[in-house]
Amino acid sequence: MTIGDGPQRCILHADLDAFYASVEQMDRPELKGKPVLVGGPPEKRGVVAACSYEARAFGIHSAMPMRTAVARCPRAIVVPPRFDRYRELSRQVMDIFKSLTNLVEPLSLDEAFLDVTGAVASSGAAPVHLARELKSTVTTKVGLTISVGVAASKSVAKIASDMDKPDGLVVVDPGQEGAFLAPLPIRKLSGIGPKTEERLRRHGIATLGDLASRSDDWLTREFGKRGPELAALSRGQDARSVAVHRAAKSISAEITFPQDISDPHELGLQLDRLCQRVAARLQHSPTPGRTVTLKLRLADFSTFTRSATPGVPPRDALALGRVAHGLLEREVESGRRFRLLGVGVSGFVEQRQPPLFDL
Amino acid sequence: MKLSCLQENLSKGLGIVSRAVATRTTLPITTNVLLATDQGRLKLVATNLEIAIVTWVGAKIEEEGAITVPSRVLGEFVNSLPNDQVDLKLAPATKSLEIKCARFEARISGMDAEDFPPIPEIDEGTVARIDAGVFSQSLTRVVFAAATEDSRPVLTGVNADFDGKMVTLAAADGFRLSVDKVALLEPVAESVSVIIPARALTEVNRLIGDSSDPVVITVNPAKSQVLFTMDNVRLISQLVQGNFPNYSQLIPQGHSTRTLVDAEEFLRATRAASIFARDASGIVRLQVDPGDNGLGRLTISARAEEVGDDQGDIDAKVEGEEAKIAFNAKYLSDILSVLAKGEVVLETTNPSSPGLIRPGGDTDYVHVVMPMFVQW
Amino acid sequence: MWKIIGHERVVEALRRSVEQGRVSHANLFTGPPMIGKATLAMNLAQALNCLGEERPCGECVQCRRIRESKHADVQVIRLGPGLDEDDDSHKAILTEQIEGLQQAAALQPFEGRAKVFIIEAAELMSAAAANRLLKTLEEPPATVYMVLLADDQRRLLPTVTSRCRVYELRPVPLETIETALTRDHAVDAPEARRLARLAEGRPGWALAAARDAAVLEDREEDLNEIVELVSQSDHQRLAVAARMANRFGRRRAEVGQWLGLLLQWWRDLLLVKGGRPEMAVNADRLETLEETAAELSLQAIADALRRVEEAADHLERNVNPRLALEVLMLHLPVAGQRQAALAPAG
Repeated sequence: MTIGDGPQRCILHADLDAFYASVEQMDRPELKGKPVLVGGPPEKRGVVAACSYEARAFGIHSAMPMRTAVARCPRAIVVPPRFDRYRELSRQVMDIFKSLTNLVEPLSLDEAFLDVTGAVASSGAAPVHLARELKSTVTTKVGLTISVGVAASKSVAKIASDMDKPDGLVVVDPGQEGAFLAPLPIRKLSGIGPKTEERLRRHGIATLGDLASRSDDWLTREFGKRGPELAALSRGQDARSVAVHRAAKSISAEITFPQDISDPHELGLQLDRLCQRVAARLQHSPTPGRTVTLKLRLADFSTFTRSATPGVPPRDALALGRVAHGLLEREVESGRRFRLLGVGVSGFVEQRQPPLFDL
Repeated sequence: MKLSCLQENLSKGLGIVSRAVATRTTLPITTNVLLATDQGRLKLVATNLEIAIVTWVGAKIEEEGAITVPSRVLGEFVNSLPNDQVDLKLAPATKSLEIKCARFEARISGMDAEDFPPIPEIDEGTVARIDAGVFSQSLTRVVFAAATEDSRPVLTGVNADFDGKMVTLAAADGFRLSVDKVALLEPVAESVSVIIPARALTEVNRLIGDSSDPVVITVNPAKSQVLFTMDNVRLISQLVQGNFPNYSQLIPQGHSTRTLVDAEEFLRATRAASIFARDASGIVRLQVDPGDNGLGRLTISARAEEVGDDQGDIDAKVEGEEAKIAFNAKYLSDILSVLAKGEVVLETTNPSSPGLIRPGGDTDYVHVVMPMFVQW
Repeated sequence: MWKIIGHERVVEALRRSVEQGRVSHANLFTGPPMIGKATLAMNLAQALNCLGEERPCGECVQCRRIRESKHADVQVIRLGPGLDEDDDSHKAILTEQIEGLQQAAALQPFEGRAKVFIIEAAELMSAAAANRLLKTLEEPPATVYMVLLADDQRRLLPTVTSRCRVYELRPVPLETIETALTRDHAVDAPEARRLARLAEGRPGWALAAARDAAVLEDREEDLNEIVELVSQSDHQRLAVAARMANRFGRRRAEVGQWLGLLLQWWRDLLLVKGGRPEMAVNADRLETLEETAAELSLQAIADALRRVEEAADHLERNVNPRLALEVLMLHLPVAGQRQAALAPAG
C-alpha cells in the first residue's frame, strides 16, 4: 500500500477531550476541577463511560467498573450519562467541522476525520493555522476543547491527536511520518489490541519502528495478510480516504453456546446479555437504528433471522430487549434446540426526527 | 325496580354512557351498564375504571331499584325497538331485567348493582367553570399532541394547570408540544395542577358537542379524580400519576425568522407535499424567502427518490432572514388541521432548533415541533 | 388480622412494613404451589387499602370487596384463557396483559388507597412480558404495589428478581396446619392430622382437600397407580408415560402434581428403607411401603428418587415431555415380585 499520486493530502483528526465528563463540567460549573466519573452508579454495577482528567490522575479510565473507580478515588463525583445532551453537542461540533470541509467522517460522538486538502489549497493557509482556527471556534461556540492531529494520512493524524491531550495540536509534516511513529509503542496503532500486541512482543517487536523494519515476507508468514498491512501503517502509509457516509451499517453481538440450549429461560438470559452489549454500543451511535434483527442457529446448523422495526427506534437495553424478546418468543418451541443466538440493530439513517425532549 | 321511559331517550342515554364501557377488563362487571332510579329519573352509569360517564333519562318510576346488565346487549336491543314507551322491570329473584316495548319483550340477565365499582362522588374540591366553546376549541388544539403509546404514561395525559382565572392545558409526545391558556368564567379558589388522560378529554370534547352551557370542572381534594359536569351528563376521570415534564423551557423564546401565511393555503400545500413525503421518511421541507418589503414566499416541498417530488409556493409576510427547516409531514398537517382558518405564524431560529407555530392574532396558544435533520 | 396459616415471620415483616408505611412497591412471594402465596398477597392488598384500625381488619368495605374479588384497584394477572379452556399448553402471561397492567397503573386508584397488581405464576410470563414489566418494577407510580408470585425464584429473569423484595414462603409445620384445620375449619381431629401430613407443609392443599373430597380421591387414584409402577411391565409403564405426556401438553400443573406425588412416594420408600417409617408422609400405606422397600436396595431407591427429580427438572426446561417421562419410566427399578414373576416366562 502506497500513497497515490495527486496533491499532498491534508487530514485532521479531531477528538473532543474527555467528552462526556467535560460536558458535565461545562453544564455544572461546580464540577470543574474535580474528578468526575460519568456512568452507572457503583451499587448497580455501573462502568465508567468517561472520566475527567482530574479522575484520570488516579489511574481511572473508561470501561473500568465504577466500584473500582470509586475505590481508587472516593471523592470522585459520579454522574449518570445524558446521551441526548452529548448527541446535541456532538451535532454542534460536527456542524462546525462541516463548515470547514464537506469531507467529515464522524467516528463516534466525540471524534472525526476531516479532509481539509481542498481548504488548504483554496485558502493558501497552512494546515496548522486551519487546525488552530478550528480549535478556537469549537471552544468559543460550544465551550469544549478538542485535540487535533494533522497529517497526510488518517492513521497518523489519529495518533498525533492523542499525543498532546487535552487541548492539544500536533502536526506531522509530510515525509516525517516514519520518524514520528518509530519510537511509539505498538499499542498506539488502532488495530493492534492486547492480543496482537502480546504476539508481536514475543517476536521482540515493541515499537512501531520495530514493526516497520520487518520484511513483508516474514510478517505474512507470522501474521498472515494483516501483518504487512499493519507494517505499512507503522511506516505512515495509509491511503484510506475520509469516508463521508460512514454511518454504521449494523451493530450486533452474537454467541455460540458451548452446548445447545432449548430452555426458554436460559435463552432469555443469554438474549438479555446480548441486548446489553449491543445497547452499550448503540448509545454511542449518533443516529438510532430502526431495525432489530434476531439471528438463530438450530442444532441442525440451519440458520435464519427474524426482524422487526418498532415505531420508536430502540436506544437502551430495555427497549431493545422488548423487541428482541418478542421475536425470540415466536421461535421457541418445545424440543427446539439452539446453537447460536445473535441480536443486531441496523437501518441507521442520517435523516431523522430528533426528539423535542426526552423523559 | 319498575319504570317506564321513551325509547328515544333511553337509546340516546345508553349511547352516551357506552363510550365508557370497558372492552377489555379484569373486572367483568365493568362491561355492564348500571341502571338505577334516581329522584324520579333513570340514571345510567358505565365505567372502564379510567373514566365513568353518568347520564339521566326522564322516566316514570313506579318502584325504586338498581341492576347492571351487559351494555352491548341492552344497547343493541333498545336501538332495534320502535320509538315508543319502554317498560323496564327487575325480576329480583333471577336478577334479570324485563323490557317491554310495543309488542316486543325481552329479558336480560344482570349482576347485582352493589357489585358495580362505586362511582366517585366528587362534591368538594377545586371548582372551575369554563365556557363550553372556549374549552372545546382549546381541547381540539391541545389533546392531539399527547402521546398515544403507554411507555411514558404521563405523556398520554394533558397537564391542566388552574391558576387564578386561567387554565393552561399542555400536551406533548416527545416530538411536539401544544400549550393553550384560556380564561375561566371566574377565578379558582386555589391553584391546582393535574394530569388528565387525553382519552378522557377527547370524550369530554365529544360530549360538549354543540352545547353552550358552561362546563364545570371539579378536582377532588385528593387530586386523584376530576369531574366534568355538562348538560345532563357527568364524566369522571381518574388522574394520571406522576410529574409532567417542565415544558415551559421547551418553548423557544426568540426567533430569527417570522413567517405569516394563510392557514388553509399552508395546509393544502402541506397535504400535497405529504404525498411525496410518505416515501421519504415523512420529510417536508420549508423554505422562507423574505422577498422585498416583507412580501415574501414560503416554499413547501418534498422529494422521494424513485417516486418524484413536488413544490408549492404560497405568499408570506416575512420578518427576519431567509430560513429553511424540515418537518415531519404528519406533525405539520396535524397542527395546521386544528388551526383550520385564518392566519398562521411560523417562527424559526435555525434548521435544527424547534419551530413554533401559532395562530395569527391575539392568543396564548403555541405549538412547538422539533424539525427533522436533513441534508439541504 | 392477617388471615393465613403459618408464615409468621413473613407476616410479621409485612405487618411492620405496612404499619411504618414502608411496603416495597415491588414484591416477590416464592414457595411451592398452595403454600399460601396468593392468600398472603390478598392480605397485603387488604392491609394497604384497609380503613380499619388493625390492618387488615377484614371487616371494612375495602377488605370485603378485595376478598370478594370485586375491588377495582386490586387486579390479579394470570394465564389468559385460551380458546380451549382445558388447554394451557404454550400459554404464558403475555405482553398485552402487562401493557394493560401498565395502563391501569398509570392512573390514580379508583376506590381504594393503593393499586395492587398480583401476578400469579410470574415464572410463566413470556420473556417479552417480563421485559416490559421491568420499567414498572423499577419506577412504580406512588400508589402502585406489584406482587409477583412464583413457585421457584430461579425460573424468573434475574433482572426481575433483583428489582423485587423477595419473601420466601417455607413449608408450614404439620402441627400448625392441623390446629388451623380443627380450630378454624371444623375438621375433626384424625382427619386434620391426616390432611396436615399429606399436605407436606402446604396449608392451601390441606384446605382444598378438607373442602372438596375429590381432591383426596384424585390423589388416592394417582397414588394407586404410582404404587403399582414397580411391578409393571415396560409396556405398561410406557403407556403411563404417553398418557402423562399428553396431559402435560394440556394441563401442565396436573403433571407437576403427579410428579410431586411420585417424588413423595419414593422419598417415603427411602425413609422406610432407612429405618425412619414414622417420618413417611403416606403413613396410611405403611404396609405397602414396607413390602416394596424390602424388595429394593437402598441404592435403587436413591437412584429412582434422583431420576424423578431429573425428570421434573427436564420438564421445566422444555425438554420433549414424552421423552423425559419415558426415560423416567424405564429407569424406575423393578421390584422383586415382578422379577420373580417374569423370570420363568423370560
